[in-house]
Amino acid sequence: MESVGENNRLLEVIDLKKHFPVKRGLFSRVQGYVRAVDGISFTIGREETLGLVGESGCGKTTTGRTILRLLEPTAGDVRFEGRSVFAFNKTELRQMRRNMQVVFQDPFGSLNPRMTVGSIVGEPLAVHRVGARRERRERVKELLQKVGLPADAVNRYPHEFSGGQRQRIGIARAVALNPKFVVCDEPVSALDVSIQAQIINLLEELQEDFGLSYLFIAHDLSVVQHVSDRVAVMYLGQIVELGDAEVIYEDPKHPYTVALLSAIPVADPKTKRKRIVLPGDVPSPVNPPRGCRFHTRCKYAKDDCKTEEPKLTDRGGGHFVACFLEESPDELRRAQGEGK
Amino acid sequence: MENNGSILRVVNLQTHFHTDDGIAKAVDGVSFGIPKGKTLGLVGESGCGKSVTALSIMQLVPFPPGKIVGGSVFFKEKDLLKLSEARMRKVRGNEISMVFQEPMTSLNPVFTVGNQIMEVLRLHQKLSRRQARQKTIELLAQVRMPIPEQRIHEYPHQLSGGMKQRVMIAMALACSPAVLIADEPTTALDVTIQAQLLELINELQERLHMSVLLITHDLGVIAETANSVAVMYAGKIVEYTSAENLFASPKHPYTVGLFGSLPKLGKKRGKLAVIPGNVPNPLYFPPGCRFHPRCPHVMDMCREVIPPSAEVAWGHQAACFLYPACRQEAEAA
Repeated sequence: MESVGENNRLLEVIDLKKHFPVKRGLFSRVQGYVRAVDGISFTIGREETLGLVGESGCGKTTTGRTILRLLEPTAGDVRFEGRSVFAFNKTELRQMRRNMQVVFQDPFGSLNPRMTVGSIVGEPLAVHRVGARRERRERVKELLQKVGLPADAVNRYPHEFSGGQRQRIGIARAVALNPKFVVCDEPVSALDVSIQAQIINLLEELQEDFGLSYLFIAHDLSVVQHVSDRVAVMYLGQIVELGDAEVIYEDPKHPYTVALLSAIPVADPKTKRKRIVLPGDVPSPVNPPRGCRFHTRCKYAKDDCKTEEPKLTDRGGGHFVACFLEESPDELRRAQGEGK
Repeated sequence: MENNGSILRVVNLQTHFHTDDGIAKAVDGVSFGIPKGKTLGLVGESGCGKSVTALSIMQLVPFPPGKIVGGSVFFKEKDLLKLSEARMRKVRGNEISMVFQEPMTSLNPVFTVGNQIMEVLRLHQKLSRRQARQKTIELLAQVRMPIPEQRIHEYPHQLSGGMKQRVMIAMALACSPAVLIADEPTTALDVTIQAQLLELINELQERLHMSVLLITHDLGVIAETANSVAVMYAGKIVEYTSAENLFASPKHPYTVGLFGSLPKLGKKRGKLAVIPGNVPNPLYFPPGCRFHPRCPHVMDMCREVIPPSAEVAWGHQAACFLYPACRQEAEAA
């Protein structure tokens, strides 16, 4: 699939699945599976940012972790520069990890409180035996400067820094080995608005300087839309819509995307619009609804939607939608018009 | 912004925390009023004192280390800070009630949700067990909880985040309060659930003629719900006006900076305007204007004198020396 040209592809995710067993009872018998990620496919080009949005529990974090092989997949494949990530043995995997890094959501939980900032940022260099000790020290200073931290941070501990600064430390660690690809798992959700903007700008600068590709995972559609070239919308373990960031915003086709966009409060009291309020909660991923997983909350649901699963198909120009609706119905379009 | 006719009026409220490292002036001279049936939005970033303001109104500030050291909170023209604890208990949860940010931790895990709502009714309204049960079911139906007769027998862990927050709102509304304080009621929830709840709060407010103090960091939520807005920074209100005024022409450099750092939907990629630096530690607030180390328009005066709040445009208060009204006010003082 897709709009990323064959030779520009960095990462390919093919029908990836990750199910977690649910164990109960005395003998921990497997009672069922949480279908956290249930057959998703996408590609990421070089120096591209793919945004992955969805509500909590939709499987976006699991997707990021499985791609990095922090979790073993249930099925499917991930190819990094054409080579299958899941086929690597331990040594190869370690080599691969030089090129694939991650920035976590929680700037408080993801840094070891007993390590100095210098050793945190320098650890990947030490693990991969990059240069001599002195060179590594120089490199750490350079990295700290790059992410906008004072040089004396080297000998200080994480607790001495604010949330935004800690996130900078995490970012310095992620880019230490000059990776090609970074998974940003909700990198700004825990931060205040004014700090959020600083971190977003930093990530964009680093992308230009190092030629990075990002998988940017977030639940905040406005942040994702700002940083991404393309956006994938996830619902209950599956991608329901994927396309250029602008197209997804201007012309969303899937009723879930439309509702998600309309639910974002807009910082302008003059835009009076009709918010589409989705009824109910997200169903459990242990027993996802049959057919289209969104049908229980979709006001356009027809009989077909309850039995048949819509496939993610190209609606032109690399805009993929998994919905039986031929085109956005009038009502959909009107809601959209008011939503702007 | 006239305070006359306000059902809840906070005047020069000061709440300090005494810690080993010194005094943290979490709330330092905050004043505002909420008219009947209206919503006041209190916005600011973490640590600016917005939640402590709410807790001070309810007199729930943990003592020690926290203490309300000055000011008044007038509710129906009575100063709540002068009431005895026993009298205050009759107001709390009855005439003024509160919804907290974390529905996961503010419900008691060992009691059913029905039990927890009934407790409020039995305590404040002296209802019998059967009446309380009936009322609880009605309340849950009012916050659109599906099958409330069954839900009252469930424990908090059996409910989703959005459902728990509905229980919290039902509990807060149990005694038809005159004022509802909602402290980041939707922050922990997904956008689609947030949309459901904001709609619900708006609707209930109209029906019950409640006044709402909505505390949030999300300017979008403010724009959609509040009539007037107070922007807090480092323990002080820096700007206070109607929602229309604030969003049409923000006056304080901090508010302007906040708007700039919001990524806007539908806008092309580009650099976000940024407020440099970090929110100051309440133990070591900078002298003068507390925003001056991060302010692009900083002047000598700002480093020494705390700018007083003054009317810088019609119905629009701000505390910044960029405006002649504030400079005059400072000279007069």
